[in-house]
Amino acid sequence: MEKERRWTEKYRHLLQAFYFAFTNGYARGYTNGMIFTGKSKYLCVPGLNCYSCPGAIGACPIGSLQAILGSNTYRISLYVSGMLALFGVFFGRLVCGFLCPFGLVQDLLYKIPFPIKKKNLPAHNQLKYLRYVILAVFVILLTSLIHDVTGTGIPWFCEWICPSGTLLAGVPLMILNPEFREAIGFQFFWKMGILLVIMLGSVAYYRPFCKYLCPLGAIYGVFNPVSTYRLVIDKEKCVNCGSCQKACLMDIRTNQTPNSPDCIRCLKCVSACPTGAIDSSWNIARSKFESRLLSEEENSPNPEVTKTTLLAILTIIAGLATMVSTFKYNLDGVLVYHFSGLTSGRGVLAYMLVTLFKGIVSFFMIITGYKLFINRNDENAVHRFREQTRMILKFVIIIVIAGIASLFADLSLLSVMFNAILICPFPIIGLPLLASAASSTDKLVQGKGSAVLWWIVFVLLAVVTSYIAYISTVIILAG
Amino acid sequence: MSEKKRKTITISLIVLSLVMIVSGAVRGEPFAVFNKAIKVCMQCIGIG
Ligand code: SF4
Ligand code: SF4
Ligand code: SF4
Repeated sequence: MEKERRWTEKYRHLLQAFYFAFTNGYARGYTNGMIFTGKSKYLCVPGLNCYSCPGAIGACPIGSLQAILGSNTYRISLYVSGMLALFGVFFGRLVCGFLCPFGLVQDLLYKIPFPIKKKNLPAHNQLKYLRYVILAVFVILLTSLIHDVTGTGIPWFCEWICPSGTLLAGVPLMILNPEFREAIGFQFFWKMGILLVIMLGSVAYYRPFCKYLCPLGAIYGVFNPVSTYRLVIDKEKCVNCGSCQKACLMDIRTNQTPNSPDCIRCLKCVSACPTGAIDSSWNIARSKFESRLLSEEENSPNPEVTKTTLLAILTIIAGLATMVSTFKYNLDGVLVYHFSGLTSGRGVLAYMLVTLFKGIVSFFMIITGYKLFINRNDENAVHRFREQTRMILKFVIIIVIAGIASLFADLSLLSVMFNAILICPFPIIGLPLLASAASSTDKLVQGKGSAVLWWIVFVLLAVVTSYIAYISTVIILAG
Repeated sequence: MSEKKRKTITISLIVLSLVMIVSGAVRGEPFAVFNKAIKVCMQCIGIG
């Protein structure tokens, strides 16, 4: 585990760089000075990554939040706030440590040798609250309250502060596109000034923008104490030596406030701790899980490992395909129906419920398949899997009933409903049966023919699942 | 904060955020996000 900890810290910049390249990898943008227009821009990326960056394939969460707050149609954002909360509750500021381009830029700048190297600006303890002020005033209040003649609010944070937008979008587009160059004026110089001050500041001080100014970091920080990723201190091991705070460039007394809103999850403290007292909740959960598996493996080896493995893989693929089709097909479908006015409000609501249930089914299928795969050596896993898939099957029955009920509300949904409710979660019908037949002690189908029957049902299900997976892939590729 | 309380908060927040995303999607917010994200934002690049 010790080796692993150091690995994560050592290769953090590599992970940051890979992530940056992946989410800003639209190469044509950099050659023709335009931006990506594909459907992935319906979704926000977790970090402060300008959507006007020529390579960006996703939307910036702070930009999107302001777009909705300032729009004359919506005013309040549920979709973007929901996505921010979801990132926050899963990762907290792990996003800052690993998944933010502007965090990476500041990390690299701090590596440049310079006579003055300090963690904090003077008045650090007061200044660190500035990021909440920027979130409240520039992102939310000004954008929501000040409107132009069309009733639209401008994104104040983007317009007057955001250095990520200037660096990732402004500078490359000015270089690549002469039309934009002609429009340069006071505002551009103002934003360049802010960018330069932050970049020069980052050489002497560690991540000044993240510490004092970033509204996105402010949001994720609030989630640090309750996110699934947390730092955990082993009080038995901690000798209160202070090495963690010494190593921490965000200047946090880690052993006292391991989940401080200021912590960007860079994991320097984890490497620095001489007694290995700091660990992450994810690591602890994994270790617990592995030791449980190990003991279970020793206790009851499963003679039908191959079948169990195949079953697990089939379930995961079926779940993934169902999930993709839910998002790409059902969700698109419901929005098109809603806005084209082709169907009544009640019809859309029923269809939305079907979509929601289908999303839940797909999620459970993936989790169940994954658990079966991990526990494939444990004979009891197959029994558990059978019970779980039966539960999921009940959900599918609800989907079918809700789907049929929605047809009563609105018959025009018939064509999409057929696909939505029947085809995608179909493989789940055969899974409990296969699970029973795969288990050597719990056979529904006894006798000599059972092995042959198992393979026939398995192949049938595999064909259906592959077909669905194929269609889902085609849908994704078609954009 | 007790472990149980924290778990309850985490799970409630996951559910709440999923409900928010779905409700936002029904209102059509993703279209607004998409439309903003596929055009060069003049404010972001400093000429708005
Ligand atoms: S604080 Fe803001 S800029 Fe810094 S890493 Fe986090 S999201 Fe990125
Ligand atoms: S470095 Fe480790 S042992 Fe030292 S105070 Fe921090 S957590 Fe405790
Ligand atoms: S406490 Fe400091 S060193 Fe540890 S992960 Fe957080 S920011 Fe990094």
